[in-house]
Amino acid sequence: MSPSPSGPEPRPARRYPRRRLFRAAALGTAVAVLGTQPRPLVALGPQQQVATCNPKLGVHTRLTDEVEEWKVKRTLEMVREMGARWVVEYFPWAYCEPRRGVLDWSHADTVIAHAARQGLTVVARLGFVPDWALPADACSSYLTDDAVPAFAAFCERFARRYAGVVGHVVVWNEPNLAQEWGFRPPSPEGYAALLAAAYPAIKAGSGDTTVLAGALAPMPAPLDDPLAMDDLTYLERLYAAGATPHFDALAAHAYGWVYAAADEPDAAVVSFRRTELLRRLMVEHGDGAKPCFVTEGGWNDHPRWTRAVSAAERVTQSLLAYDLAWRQWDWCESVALWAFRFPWPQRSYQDYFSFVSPDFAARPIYAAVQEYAQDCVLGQESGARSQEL
Amino acid sequence: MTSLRSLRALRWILAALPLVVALVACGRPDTSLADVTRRGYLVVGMDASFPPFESIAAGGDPEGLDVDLARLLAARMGLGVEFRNISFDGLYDALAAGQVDAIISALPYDGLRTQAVRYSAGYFDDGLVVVGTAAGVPPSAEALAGTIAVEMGSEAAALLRQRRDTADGSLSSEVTVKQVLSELDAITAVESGAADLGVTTRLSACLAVAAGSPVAIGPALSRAPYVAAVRADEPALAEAVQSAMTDVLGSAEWSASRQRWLGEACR
Repeated sequence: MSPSPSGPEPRPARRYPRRRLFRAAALGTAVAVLGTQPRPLVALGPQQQVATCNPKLGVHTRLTDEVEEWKVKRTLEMVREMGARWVVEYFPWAYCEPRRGVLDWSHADTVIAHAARQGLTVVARLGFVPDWALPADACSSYLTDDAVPAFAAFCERFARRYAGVVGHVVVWNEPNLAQEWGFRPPSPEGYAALLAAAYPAIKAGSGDTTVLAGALAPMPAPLDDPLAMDDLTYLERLYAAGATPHFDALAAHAYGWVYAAADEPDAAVVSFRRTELLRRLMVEHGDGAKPCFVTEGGWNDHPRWTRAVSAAERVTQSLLAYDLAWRQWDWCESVALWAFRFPWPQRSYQDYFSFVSPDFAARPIYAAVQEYAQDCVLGQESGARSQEL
Repeated sequence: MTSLRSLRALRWILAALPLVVALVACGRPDTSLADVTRRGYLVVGMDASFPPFESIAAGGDPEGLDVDLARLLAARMGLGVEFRNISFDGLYDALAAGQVDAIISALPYDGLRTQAVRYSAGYFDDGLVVVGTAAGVPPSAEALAGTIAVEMGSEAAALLRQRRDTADGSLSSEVTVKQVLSELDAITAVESGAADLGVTTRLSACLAVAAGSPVAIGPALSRAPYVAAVRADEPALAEAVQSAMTDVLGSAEWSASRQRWLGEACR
């Protein structure tokens, strides 16, 4: 088909100037919007302060695997609103350095920024060996001697990055358990070597950071147990191995199991005041000037777990423990009970340690602690039994 | 022409492939019931630390309501029964690993596990109930009034707090919630007149009444049925267990067992 000789009338130029103008404006707007840095979806919000009568009150949050930032923020808001000043949080080496030399601080940055904005003091626990630093078929708690320098370097980077924001770093966790020591027999001497490498590294990163020796699992284990070493024995051997100059404070786990907070400490049982036995050892070794930090602990109200107590006893003993540590343990800086909130249901007794459900429903213990934190007056809890519950 | 015919044939084959795969998968025989029948006994997992449902008697054998239930179910299925004492948090893993055929252990129904597990009908509802004096028990859970005693920190406390805070009229503003240190204390508060009503689990109420408390058990505030669990990929066994359960729950033996372990009020 050939064009008509007459053809259409030529379209006058600039017939639709407004439409062109509109298109140009829309294009310009799109370029402007796409070209700018997107605003964060979750704002840090205004600087907050914790209102509490008990300056040692704290919780172990469990934000390690919390993906969504708004949930990180909401969790830490609820911690503040409960009246807790301290949070202990776990920052896995494997998450921050997934490949050798490749650092990803995004999640740690998020948690620490929100915690700081909520006015919380962070105690950072470091551990978890990345694949690239593991021998074949080893688990993430297996730190070889060869990998110790790389871990120490990570500790140094962490301390430097968060200098002035995170003032307390815990090196490793419960090394007196085989499962936390690469399923090898626990070795206080090996852990002393780890501290000796990590301590100067952290100080090089931030001279003001307090280095905490990892909390030991409260554990009256027999001497020949290949899976665990008695925590008191372990600490004794840690001192014998020359660890004294390589930590500024001791982290401790103070679980109550079925015993009351006020029960006299007994080396044969796991109870809240077992921490005093660790303290006694520190003093005996001339280390009494160093403080302790309870970085895990508390009671569980699972209806079927044999180490659990009733819901009322959990509330009672938790409040008594917070209060006891504040009034009587002048060597203890903070008490962080396990565990504020899990990102998802654990489907086990662990859920019954929590203060808040994964969907942010406050459990009754939350309200009880919140009420206590207003004036530090114990109600009927003070009349609780002091014998085995 | 030939290539067109081949293409059509290929299209038919592709269309039929999912159906063939589905038929093959569905056609895998479920031998679970036959395997148990051949063995001659049902292996039941339980955490024998929860009397009166399951505990270890002085002689070392398990005893309790769940033990009776397992024996009654197995008898209906023409089987004996073997008990494996497993910690509560390990029961589902034991079932998944095939170490046990069923879980009967005061196990609450869990709707999030129904992809892996088939549950029987509930055989005991351990939800929250209202307790009061015989004359004071309200006709419905919506008519709570006066002072209500609950265990501090418990689900009952959380539920009443939630109903109070909801402000939808589900809990009168004139209700006073009195927190005590145990469910037994809540029942004692009702007995002594320190509270008009109490809210406890049904089990606590049953055991208190069985022990001689004069309180009456009133309407339920929540449901928490205990159920038996079998693997979802063993439907034949699950159906046999459910069929036996239906039979057992209507039997005089079950009623007698409930009376023995929970008392007359909860038979």
